[in-house]
Amino acid sequence: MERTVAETIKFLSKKLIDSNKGIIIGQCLSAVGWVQNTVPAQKKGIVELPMTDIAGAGFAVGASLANIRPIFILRFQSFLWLNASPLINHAAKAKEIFGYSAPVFIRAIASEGLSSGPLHTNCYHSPFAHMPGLPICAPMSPKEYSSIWKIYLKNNDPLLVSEHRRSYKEYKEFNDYIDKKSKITVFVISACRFEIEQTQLKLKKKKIEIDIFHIVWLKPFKIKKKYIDSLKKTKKGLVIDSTYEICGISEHIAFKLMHSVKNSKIYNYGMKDKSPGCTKSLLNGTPNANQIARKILKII
Amino acid sequence: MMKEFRSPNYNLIKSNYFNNDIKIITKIFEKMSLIREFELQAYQNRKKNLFKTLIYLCLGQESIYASTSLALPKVSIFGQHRGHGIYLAYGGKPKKLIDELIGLKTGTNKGMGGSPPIFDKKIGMFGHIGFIGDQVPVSAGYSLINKKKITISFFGDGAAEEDYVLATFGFAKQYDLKILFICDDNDLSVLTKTKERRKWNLSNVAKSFGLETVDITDDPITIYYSIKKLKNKLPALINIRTCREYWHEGAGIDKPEKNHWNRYEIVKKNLINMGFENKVVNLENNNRNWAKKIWKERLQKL
Repeated sequence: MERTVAETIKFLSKKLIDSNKGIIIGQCLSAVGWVQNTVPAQKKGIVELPMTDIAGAGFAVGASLANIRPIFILRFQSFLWLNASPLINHAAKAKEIFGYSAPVFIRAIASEGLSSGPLHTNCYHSPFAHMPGLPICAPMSPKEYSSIWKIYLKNNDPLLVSEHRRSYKEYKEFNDYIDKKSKITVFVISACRFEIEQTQLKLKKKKIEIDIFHIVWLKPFKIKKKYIDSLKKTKKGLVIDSTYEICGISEHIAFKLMHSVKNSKIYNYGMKDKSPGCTKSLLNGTPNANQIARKILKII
Repeated sequence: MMKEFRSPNYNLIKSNYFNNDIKIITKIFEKMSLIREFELQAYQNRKKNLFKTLIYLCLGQESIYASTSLALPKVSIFGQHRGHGIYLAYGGKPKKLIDELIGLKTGTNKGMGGSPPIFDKKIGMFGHIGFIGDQVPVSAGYSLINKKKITISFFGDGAAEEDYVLATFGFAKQYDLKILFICDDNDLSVLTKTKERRKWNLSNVAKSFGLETVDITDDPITIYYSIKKLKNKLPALINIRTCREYWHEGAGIDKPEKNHWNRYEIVKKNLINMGFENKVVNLENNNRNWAKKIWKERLQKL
């Protein structure tokens, strides 16, 4: 049966709870559509937290020490700031410091648009990539979500899943695109991936081909042979993410790729270095198809 | 002005040394002596710079861990940076603790962190990452899932002021957790006294969250019976007034406060007055020799 991303998350979560191997823990889970319909509408296995950030993350980490798999939900990625300490200092470091693991599954949900504002707009996965012991991924399709879930269950590490609301209603799967005439290699992360197809069409009209690679795993980021082959051909690259452009994961990935291919120039692109507002003129979100196309034209 | 609660007799449960209490106090004192001699060796060796890792000594606070381990022996335990006493009282291997303190790979944490992260899952003890109070919400999350055993969450009077610690009291009550919070209240956050930091009383605040609470001095019998009373009324909090004898971190001795008491010496004196002088002296000598021997042996591995 075909499922959207939201239905996939709900299906996998319910399966975990029904097997008595996990719980869902977070704030306001049952209110307003069960977290965009990603949480099974039931009492069993659902732990409603008081509005206690920091402590809330601590409860989730503690639960993970008791041989279960807690799914800890942060309804906005901005809440990562408040909940960071138990996640990065306890869960992520437990294996190294204590030799036992704290496999908490952290669902951090990004949103954007007029109702998101200065705090809740888009992703905050970058600062978390700085700390050891916490793998990070950003699945945007049902199959990608199932795939990262399998990897999570197979291992005993915590996992930060940088979700985006734009993916929830999607059935769509993503394929990398390679053309021998491509002039640039583009790596896309998070909600940018929903824009890149339009960008590609716009550029095709100008007879410009681009290679496209969809990035799911941000940490560890593995450089694949096809990335190298493409970059050797184009000598130019662009890494785009739904978060601030400076000092983030896209800049880091661009840096790593540039050092892997001689004489290549790889740029990164994302939100401007300013807080987004709630009115149209103050928006600062995921670069749209037009903006990405302009950026590419400027580079090539 | 906050009322001064600190005294060696604060809410003391008077013990009757002629009945069963003598057995209890003797067993507790045995553990107190073992912890004390171990810590004195740690202090002396650190003072000589024979090792240089992070070290938080629990001298002065031995009665808390010795009494708790006797009252509730089979529990899950979450401690804090000053956790040597917990580890030893609950049966952790002393040699592994020394190895951790001196930074050997054979230590509890392979030499990662000195005192703060020590643990031993065989005795039910989890490690601490180093942020005061971090273990309190973590212990509550653990207790939410592991309902078979009582969980004990140790922390200090400084950690009690962390918002996430206070939030945990509410969570524990909301989910009726089988958890006992024990505050080792030595009145000091590094060297800043409680009255400089807050005007509220921990047991009153915990009570307002719906927890059963007691606020007592660090007398072993008082701790022992308070725990026995509260273990069927969880979640609960015990605030134990105690005196830290040595530095917050490292090897040094704090300037004694005018109202400072030495619980170890009080218990020892009581036992001697009861006619147990030979037993006390022998116990101390044996523990001192044992501690000297294992410290010397492990230091040779450096």
